[in-house]
Amino acid sequence: MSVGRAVARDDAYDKVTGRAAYPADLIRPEMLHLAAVFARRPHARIVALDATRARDAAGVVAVLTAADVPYNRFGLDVADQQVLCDDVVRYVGDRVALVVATSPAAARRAAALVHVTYDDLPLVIDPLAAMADDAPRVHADRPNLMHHRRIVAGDVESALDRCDVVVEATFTTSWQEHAYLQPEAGTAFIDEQGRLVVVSAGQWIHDDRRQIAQVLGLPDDRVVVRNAQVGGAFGGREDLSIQPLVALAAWTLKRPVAMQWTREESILGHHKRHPFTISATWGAQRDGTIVAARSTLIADGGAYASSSSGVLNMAITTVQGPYAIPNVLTDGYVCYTNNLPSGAFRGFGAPQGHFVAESMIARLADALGLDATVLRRANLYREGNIEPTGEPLPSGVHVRDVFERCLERARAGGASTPRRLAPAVRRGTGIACGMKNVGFPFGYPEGATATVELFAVDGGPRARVRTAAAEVGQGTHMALRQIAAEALSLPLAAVELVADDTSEAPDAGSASASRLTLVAGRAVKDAAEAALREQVSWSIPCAATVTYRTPPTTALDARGHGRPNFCYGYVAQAVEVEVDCKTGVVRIVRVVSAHDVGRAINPQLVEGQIEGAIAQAVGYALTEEFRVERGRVLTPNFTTYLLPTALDVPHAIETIVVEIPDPNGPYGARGVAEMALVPFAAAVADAIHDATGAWVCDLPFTPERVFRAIAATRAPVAVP
Amino acid sequence: MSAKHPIHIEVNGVAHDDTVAPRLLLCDYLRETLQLTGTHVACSVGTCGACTVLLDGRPVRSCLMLAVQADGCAIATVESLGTETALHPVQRAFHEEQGLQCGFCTPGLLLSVTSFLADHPDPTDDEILAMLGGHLCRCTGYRNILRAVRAAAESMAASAV
Amino acid sequence: MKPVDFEYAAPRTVDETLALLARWGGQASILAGGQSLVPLLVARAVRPRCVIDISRVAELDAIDEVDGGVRIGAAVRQATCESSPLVQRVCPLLVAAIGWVASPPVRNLGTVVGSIAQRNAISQIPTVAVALGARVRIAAADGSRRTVPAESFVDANSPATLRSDELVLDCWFPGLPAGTAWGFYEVQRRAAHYALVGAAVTYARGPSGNATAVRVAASGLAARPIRLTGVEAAVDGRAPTPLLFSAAAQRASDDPVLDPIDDVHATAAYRRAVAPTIVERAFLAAAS
Repeated sequence: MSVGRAVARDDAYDKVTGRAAYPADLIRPEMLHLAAVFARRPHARIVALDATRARDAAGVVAVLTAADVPYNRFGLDVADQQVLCDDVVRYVGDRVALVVATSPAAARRAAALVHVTYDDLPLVIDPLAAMADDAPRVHADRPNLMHHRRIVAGDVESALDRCDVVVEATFTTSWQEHAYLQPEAGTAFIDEQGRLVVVSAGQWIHDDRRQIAQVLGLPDDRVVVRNAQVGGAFGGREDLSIQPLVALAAWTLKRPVAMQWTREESILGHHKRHPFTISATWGAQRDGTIVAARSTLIADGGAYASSSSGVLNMAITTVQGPYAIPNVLTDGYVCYTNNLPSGAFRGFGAPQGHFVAESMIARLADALGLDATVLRRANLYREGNIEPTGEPLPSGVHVRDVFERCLERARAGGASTPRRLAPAVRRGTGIACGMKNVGFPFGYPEGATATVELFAVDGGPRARVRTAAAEVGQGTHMALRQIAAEALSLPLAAVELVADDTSEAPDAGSASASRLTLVAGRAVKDAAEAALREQVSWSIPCAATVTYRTPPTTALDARGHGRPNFCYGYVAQAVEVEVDCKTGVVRIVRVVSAHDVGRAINPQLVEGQIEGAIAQAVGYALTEEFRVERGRVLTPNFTTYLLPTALDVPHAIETIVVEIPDPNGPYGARGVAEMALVPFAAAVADAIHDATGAWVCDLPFTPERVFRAIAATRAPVAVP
Repeated sequence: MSAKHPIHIEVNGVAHDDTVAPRLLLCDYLRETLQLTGTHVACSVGTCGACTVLLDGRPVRSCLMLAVQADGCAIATVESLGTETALHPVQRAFHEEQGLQCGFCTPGLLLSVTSFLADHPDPTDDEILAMLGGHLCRCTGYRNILRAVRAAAESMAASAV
Repeated sequence: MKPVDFEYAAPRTVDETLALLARWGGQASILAGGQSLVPLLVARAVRPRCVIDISRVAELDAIDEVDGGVRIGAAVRQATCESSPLVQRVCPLLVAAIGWVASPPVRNLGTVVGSIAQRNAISQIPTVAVALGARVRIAAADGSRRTVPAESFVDANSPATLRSDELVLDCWFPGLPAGTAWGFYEVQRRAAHYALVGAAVTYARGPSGNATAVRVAASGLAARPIRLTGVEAAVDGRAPTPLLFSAAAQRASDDPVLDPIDDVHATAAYRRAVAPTIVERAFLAAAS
């Protein structure tokens, strides 16, 4: 029995001994070393680039520019980015030149000698302003409005007229920096077969390969992409960053090259979570039936498209929350600006959408004079309910289960008795729930391929599983081996996984959308079962390859109708806070987090994902404020951008794992990686309101924002 | 080019005599000159703790030190913990309690914990958390790390009896 | 980023150090703990021609009980001070403030005097130095010495401040007589990080039980830690009750010397608005 066991992950040994090799650990002194010249200005035309002094500098082998890139366009979704800019730089992290030298110090010295003459262009820094007809264009060949999407269900305007109570509010969320501790690094070289090999840290090595091959004008099979040990990802390694640079240099010079970014370069050089401004109007009847929800969402997409289409889709489909609301009108806009590109980050638009939805529930309950629990019970999704996008929810709608379990545990109280509070400190509780898709949505091709080879060593049965699922710290390699061991009735030690090389393992899709356990896990299980059916005996090696394709989803039409997802995971959280009303400092004291995981393949890994996501959610809600002003980053390091420490996350975290089998997942497993980030900010806002009477609408809830919100309510703080 | 400076440093019990540029950071000396890549550089401003090593038994940020400052000192990196055949109790506790996910913050943390437990063999949670305040982890949410430190304290106390 | 190239010297005596300062004519930086200097070197915010490491100067590595107070040499680590029974006995406020600085590994290398010499506007140690009326002893390359109040020393505009060819030898902190009330409080954005606003408070109790010799210093309210003389005057000579503290602390927000810091963590308006609360809580800590 492997599935369901909290087996210690096997990569822990290398990690606790320091033997684990992250990309920078593979750099050898004899490699050539790269340094990028970053634009460091938010919008400008390159008038001239003079690399003469750089090329003449000691140790410099080459200075590469846009002209050296065979096909200078790439991007996850829209190929609107350049490896090295040739004409216009659109955000401070754009790269314009690449220095290749015999040492890192020589490369960086020479990078400072590349002289670029710029003509500054007018800035576009606000997405709403970006939509004006006369706004300067971020990309000359296309409007600043990347996408406008709408969802129409029923008739919101007349429904709102009929409502007993209507509540309106506007919310803002900010960028969030992934801050994986391992900054971007990579090496590249040509192997004996003449293939370009890139070793880095990515979430989807096959798609990285596709983009790298395209940029160099090579067929996919001339490029090999490998993952070294990956030091965290959280969506931040979904887009290419350092990889095309090392690939370009190695391919051009036909010599091994290496690059590592500083933290500041990492912060400047990769995408962030989308900031949103969202206005919402919800209407309900006195009996608590929510009748209508109208929302307008405006997202800052930054300089390049990245995953903006998907994030906008996710936000518009979650902004009315997990509720059966018959009349919905949602308009979502995402725009190009000269801010940092916005892209994938754990939650992918759902945290922003739920911040609004769950905050509106709290306000509606308040306006109705109803307990929010009563309001939720009257409206939460049930099996078979129709989504605003027009089709029934995928089967397995467990939001009520997690909500009730969460509520029950929250009311049972924490383990310890509450300590006596200082004067001016108020305690409050809040609750929020949510839903997040598992798997690629909106018609994106979804599936994974796995090969299972069965053989014997010294008479003992063995299996080798091949699937390129990226281990980014979440434990997927362990979980997949457990699934294979279970399907093959083998001990874990007899199952090997090959994953980190595009030439050795088939495409499993990305480590994102909480999907690997379900999608790659099914491919592994199905391939194992197919291999067993093929097998004559253990002494005769055999193999089977299966591509698991999930149930289909579709893009949304002009009215937002379609089938956005084939699977949702559900979550409910209760949060207890202490608010110091005189300083605005918020402490999270207790969290109850209930999750519908289908089946916990490895309970310890599941808990790790929940707890890790909660810590990031604490950052998103309270401490992490990513500041950009006029396109320039004011928080480019960890002394200005504040990640939560062990002292900032609550002592008391209670996770509730609800196991109701998913119809498609291996052994019923669903997905859990992103879930705990989805409702958290709203739960904290609810708790702050409970404690102080103040509504907070702008993330993060810094001490200053909370302080001002409390002052604005003029709620008297009685000093005993 | 400035004059290089001779240094004599003991690293993980092995004496090294090198001549280094004064501006060489200790973390880079360890990683690049000595090829001990277990010590990681994550923030370069001394906030995250990933680069922590022991200097004469005390945890310090190797990204905030010049190698020349360590002349005449003894440094211990993560590679000094445990033996070829057995993990140090702190390593074992982190392994068993899953006090890690991606593992990038782990080496620096292990050294801080080892030094801390030597001074506080029976620590309170508050003492542990104060020590952990100097180490950022982006993956775990810290709870398993706290469990691992407690487990290490217990197992070391048990074997000391 | 790597630092620019520089020479390095590790003198063994104060005289050697001063000779090096003279030789490099103001283009040298003193390296004690490096917790402030090394990040500046890496960011290339400072570009000295020579870095002079004083951590091996034995004369500077002493903690002495002197004149009823404690004298801390320029090479003494924060952690050493924090765990010194002598300092704990003579000046417990300093020990408390050190505990708020960053995290243990930073305190293992960072020095008490270095923190004051950096003139950091928000650091806990300079704030306590100003509150207590500490005195900084300085040696110049030409051999002359001078002693200045910490309060002037931390003011970059004051003639008392450190010149480029000078070395801080030590800082003397007055002892807190038995029965002195002392307190420290700060508000942070996040644990183990800077104070947005911090306050250090001491007062003695007169024969009638009234507060005397009241001293209040705050960080975050100006470009350097400052004394809040209006608050001091409102407490001095009166019974030290919570009600008095609350009323007196209100003076913190409109003290004319205030020019609160405005940065990515909080605005000047916020710092001014919370200042009375921070000062009040430092007093409450002192009284308990």
